[in-house]
Amino acid sequence: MRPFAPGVALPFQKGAAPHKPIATMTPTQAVRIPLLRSGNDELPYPAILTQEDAVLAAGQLIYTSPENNASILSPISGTLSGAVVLNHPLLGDMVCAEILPDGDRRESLPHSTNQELEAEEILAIAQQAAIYDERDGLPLWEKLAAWQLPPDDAAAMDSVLVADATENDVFGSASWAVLQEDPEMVLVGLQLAAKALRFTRYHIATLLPRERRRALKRAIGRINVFTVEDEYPVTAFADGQAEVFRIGAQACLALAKAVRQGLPSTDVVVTVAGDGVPASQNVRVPYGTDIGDLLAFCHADEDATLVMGDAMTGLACPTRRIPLLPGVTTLLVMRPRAIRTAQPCIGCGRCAAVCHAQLLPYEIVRRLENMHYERLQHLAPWECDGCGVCSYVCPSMRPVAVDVIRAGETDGTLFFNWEGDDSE
Amino acid sequence: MSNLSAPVIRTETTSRRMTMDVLLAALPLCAFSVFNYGMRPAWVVVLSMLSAMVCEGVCCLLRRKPLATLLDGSAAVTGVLIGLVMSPMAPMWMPMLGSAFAIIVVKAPFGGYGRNVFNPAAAGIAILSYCFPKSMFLYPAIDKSVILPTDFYLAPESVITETSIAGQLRAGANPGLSGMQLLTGDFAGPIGGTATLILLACAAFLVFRRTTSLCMTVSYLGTCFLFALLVPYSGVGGTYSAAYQMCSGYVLFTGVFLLNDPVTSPRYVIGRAIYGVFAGILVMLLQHIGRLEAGSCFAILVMNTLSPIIDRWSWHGRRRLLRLFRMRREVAAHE
Repeated sequence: MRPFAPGVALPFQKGAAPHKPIATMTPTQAVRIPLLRSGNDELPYPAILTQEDAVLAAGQLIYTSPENNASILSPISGTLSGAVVLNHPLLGDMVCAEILPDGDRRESLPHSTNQELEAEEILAIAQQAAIYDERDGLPLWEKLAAWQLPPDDAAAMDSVLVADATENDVFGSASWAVLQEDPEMVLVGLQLAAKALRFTRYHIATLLPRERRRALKRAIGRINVFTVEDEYPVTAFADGQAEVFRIGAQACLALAKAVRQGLPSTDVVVTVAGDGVPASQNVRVPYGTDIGDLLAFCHADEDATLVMGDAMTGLACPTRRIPLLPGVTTLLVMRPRAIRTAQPCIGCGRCAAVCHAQLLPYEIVRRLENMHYERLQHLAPWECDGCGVCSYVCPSMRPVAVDVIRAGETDGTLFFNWEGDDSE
Repeated sequence: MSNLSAPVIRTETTSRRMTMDVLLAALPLCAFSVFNYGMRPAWVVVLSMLSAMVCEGVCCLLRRKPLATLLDGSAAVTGVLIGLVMSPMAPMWMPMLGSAFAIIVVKAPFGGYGRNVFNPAAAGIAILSYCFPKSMFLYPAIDKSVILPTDFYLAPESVITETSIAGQLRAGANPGLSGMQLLTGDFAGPIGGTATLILLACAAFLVFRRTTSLCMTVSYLGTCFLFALLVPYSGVGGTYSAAYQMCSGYVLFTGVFLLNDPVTSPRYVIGRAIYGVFAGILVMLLQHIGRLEAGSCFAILVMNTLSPIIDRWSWHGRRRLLRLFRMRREVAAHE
């Protein structure tokens, strides 16, 4: 850790998970794949859903999302039992296709071993294979299309595409496990993505322990591995002033498999950890798998609380009967603990010292508490990226990050609602 | 059902640990005074602490707050700090009165720990210095063979007294102490204000534990030292004058303990450095031209009022400067 730099070094509680092979889970309960948010009811249901009891193969296209043209594939082979409305506690209502698992047939995409694919062809395969960036749950092709440079653009020299396998949070180790399992394919996927963007610079950013980092460098070449600082949050993903574009390591692997082997992306590696499971482990799970099913597979404690996401940014979830969606690579199972009450801010200033966005979290919280909403915007709360490090260091146990995010999401303007809405 | 909010894990440092650090740092200072004068200084500090805690307890009851609030240790710290700046022969009701004033008038009405505008300990010391300057600044001569009795009230006539370094400097006299005497605290002064080496060790401990801010302590002490070098007392020249001034009154004690109250000092790192510089100048000015021989508590109170402004302006100033540099760089790149 660099002295006097923002960020903190988090405790290492990944356990044995990074060293064990990835377990593969076959769902035993119905798998649900979100099709559309219920707010868009007027949109037509896909034709396939009108044929109840249709038999699907894993990877078969069932729908194309009208929001972003992303393909929605059946993650498993099974029988389509119809559409259900799911009340997701964190994301709201959504319409899902429910598939009952049977057998293991798999659909294959048209693929190419030809090295000379055009950028647009790579994007088309990424779209067809329904690859999601596991870091944020966005369709990979959409991100790549937004970042793509025109041919022979000078900016290509200053831009770096980074496969993010840092896992600098406390429990997560999914991308480490993926990198351990198949580093060459991750690199191939990264090269394909860089080609699609017309970038010339790319590398895998990781925080692996030293011995395994050396092994990785031997396997795929020293130049392709960038070691980040052991700090949370990571701020430097590349040397120098280069502009960094990040995608997940698992998305790279999925892209390589789609392009080279014609495999659609239907599953994700998830770390299940916390004090509510006997041992933390990485599991390869089809998208849409019931999280309760997955936790039962990992022998998780029934009474423990489910946290979607890792220790610093994860959200406690009141139910386990929800499907696993893209964007989640860590599930924590935490035993109930005594409620810790927040004390008044004592003004130690640690939140400001560790904030890598250089904000004044304590001042933002104070203005929120004192209802000085009109003065929030001077403090630029929207620059917060929600890393949660201010809450982590707070000696008074205050949920600082929650308040800063709340202030930032609204630019401090939503709070003026009590004065009356002009549009009404 | 879920009492979990992100982040799921928290740092081990709690506000209680920070106050306990300060209490721990106060222990050797108290022990040093006990070594010099017998058990009386320990009683002064303990009674001051108890008075503060009892007052805090009463205020908690009046404000319908759980008595467990006492466990955060802030009241104890206030009491101990007031006890530490007392003269070893001060009547025992004096620190108790100061602690009571600090808690009942300065801390509780503003909403308790974390919401007070002024440093309660500094306010308690200020009111005692203002009301009872004679008892405050009358120190027993340091003599290992004399043990002060632990009576509640000690008649000044029964003890051989000595003027403190600050008092001698103000009177234009040369204290005539060696460097070793200054470092080892072999001179008359308040309970916790004389042991220079122990105070420096306390500062290092608190900074190492991140309980106090390095930049604030260093900028304050650096400013005080520079000021003392540049503005020497007549009759005492050069570095010795600076050393005397640093050890006189409770300049050093203020830098280690009073200044670093997190609630009433700026929180942003640049603001803290600026705060330290201004506090240093003000403390030394009061030392030179003030009515009392130790005016640092008044300097702290004045700085407390400026703390939020310094804090915010330093942050905004840094942001504006950065933006200006970025714009210049972009313009240069464009050209």
